[in-house]
Amino acid sequence: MENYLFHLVVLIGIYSILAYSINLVTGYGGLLAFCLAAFYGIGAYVHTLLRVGNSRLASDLLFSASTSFPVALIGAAMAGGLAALLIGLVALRFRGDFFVLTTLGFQMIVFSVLYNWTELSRGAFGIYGIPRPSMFGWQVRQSWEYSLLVGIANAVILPVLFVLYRSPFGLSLKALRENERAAESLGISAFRQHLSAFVIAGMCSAVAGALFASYVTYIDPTSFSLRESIFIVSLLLFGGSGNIRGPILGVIVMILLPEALRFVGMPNTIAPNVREIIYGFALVFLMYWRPKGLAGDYAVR
Amino acid sequence: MILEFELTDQKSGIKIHGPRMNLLLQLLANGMVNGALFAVLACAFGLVYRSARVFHMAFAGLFLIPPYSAYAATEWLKAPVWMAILLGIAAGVGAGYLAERLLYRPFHRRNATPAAVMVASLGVFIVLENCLALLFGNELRTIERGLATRVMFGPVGLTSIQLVQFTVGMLTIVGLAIAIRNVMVFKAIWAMGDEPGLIPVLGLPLMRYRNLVFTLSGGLGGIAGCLIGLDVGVDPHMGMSYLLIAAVAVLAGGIDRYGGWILGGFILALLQSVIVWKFSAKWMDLATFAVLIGVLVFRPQGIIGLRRRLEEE
Repeated sequence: MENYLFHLVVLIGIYSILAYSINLVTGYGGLLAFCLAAFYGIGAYVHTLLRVGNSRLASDLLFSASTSFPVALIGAAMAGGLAALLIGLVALRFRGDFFVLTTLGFQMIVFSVLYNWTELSRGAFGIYGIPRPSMFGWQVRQSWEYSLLVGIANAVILPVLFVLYRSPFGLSLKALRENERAAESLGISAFRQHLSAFVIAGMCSAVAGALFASYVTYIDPTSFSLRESIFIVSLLLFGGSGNIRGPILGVIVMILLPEALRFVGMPNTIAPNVREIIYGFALVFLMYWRPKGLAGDYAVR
Repeated sequence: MILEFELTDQKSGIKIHGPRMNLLLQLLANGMVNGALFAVLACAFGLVYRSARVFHMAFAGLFLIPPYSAYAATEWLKAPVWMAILLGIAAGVGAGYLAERLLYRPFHRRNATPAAVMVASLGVFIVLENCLALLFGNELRTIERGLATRVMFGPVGLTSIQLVQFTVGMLTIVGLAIAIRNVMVFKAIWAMGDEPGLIPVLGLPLMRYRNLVFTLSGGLGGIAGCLIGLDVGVDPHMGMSYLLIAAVAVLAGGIDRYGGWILGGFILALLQSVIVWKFSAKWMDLATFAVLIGVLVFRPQGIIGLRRRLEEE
């Protein structure tokens, strides 16, 4: 039972990093991006490859760590940031539907590479036996230790994001989302500010991916599909974007909803479908009655 | 040097023997058949995107309703195939009509933002996908039909099902092209995409036109969906990838040109065939989206699209 609660805490911690990263892009920058799961997946895979070393991928024994956890974490963040920079350079020329489709296309490309480049990622088989994190003599084994680790990661990343939200940078993003042309006339470069937001979001979500990979010790590409990107966007829209209280509300509701269904006594065979149906309907009704989400400041346009 | 080799075609599961050049011809023929299907899907998506200015995400779920209805009709009611298909297309038309009445019209009345409509549409897609999965299971379902016979055209062989697909697809495309070019209602619908506000000014029924667009799109999606269901079969989770193909075809070909959508559909299908020939079937998705990003970057108006003047946008 304790382990189960700690498991929920870890999940909420990982998804809150994702939600606050996309909040920077969507809630403050006003850009609906469907590619967070790509950065999340890149983070998870880069972390894993740095941990196990590529040479050992051919064999099934993946237990020997080749780089330390903090190095792998930094490497993952760098890779996520680089990917975000690349796609940002292309996608940020567009607004509206074209932007959405470009990010969607990028998401599909990353998924396809992870799924089909079997020499790198072992494709659909996934990589298992990912070493558990250890740093500065602290071996993370128990679920409570994982909760602590994810808590520390949150305590480092989220305050930085919160400061960014309120900094001149965040305010300029807000100005761009309200009226891009007017903001640019005041000397704010839309491209540069949006690109910076994108790169920061990419780095943070890659860290979340690395934490996820080290927690579950098994990753396969289906965890980083378009479905996951849609889930991340919908948990932000559900809670509300453009402020600090919205995303965490969305994360808690969306993570705990399936657990609540489990306690209602829904049979396991239909539970995943029923959960998705509920959240599909929730999206429709929310967009109709409260486009700002439960506690948001900004409605997507 | 002629290389003998054997390959199983992904779509039809047919073993292809023969030299490599024949293989390319065979794959291109399959590409033409798929191109007709993609073009019908692109029409269904493009009509809504161009005229009603809605990114119709729910279409990914809607176009699977007809093949599943047809499947249910053959399995449960023991209906003959042609009747099941007609029933399926009727179900598609009904689903399109209901989607407009229950989803898009309330949002339109509220003046909802395009992104809000898109997210709501995505929600409907998620609901439909999971309802279909609950009702029919996650496995691939094929509409019950007789065994396909193989027809040879020189070095190229096509199954009778593929011939039906190609013929019906082409007839649909040509029929719609004639309608868009000549029928007054369709001209008005096309103009609606440029300036919806002017339709009521001219004394034309805006809401009825919007409804017609979604209904028609449901029917076209039904034709494509049933044709896919006849050949390779359908599963509840395949909708999104076909929707993305349709969207890429419309955007890559040019949003403002009907011919562009068709061209986009055929180009994507033929490109996929070439990818299968040159590399492997697993890189098809990658090629599709590389085309999307390439076209958007180098030719944002589409392959044969019209570049608009700045003040028109």
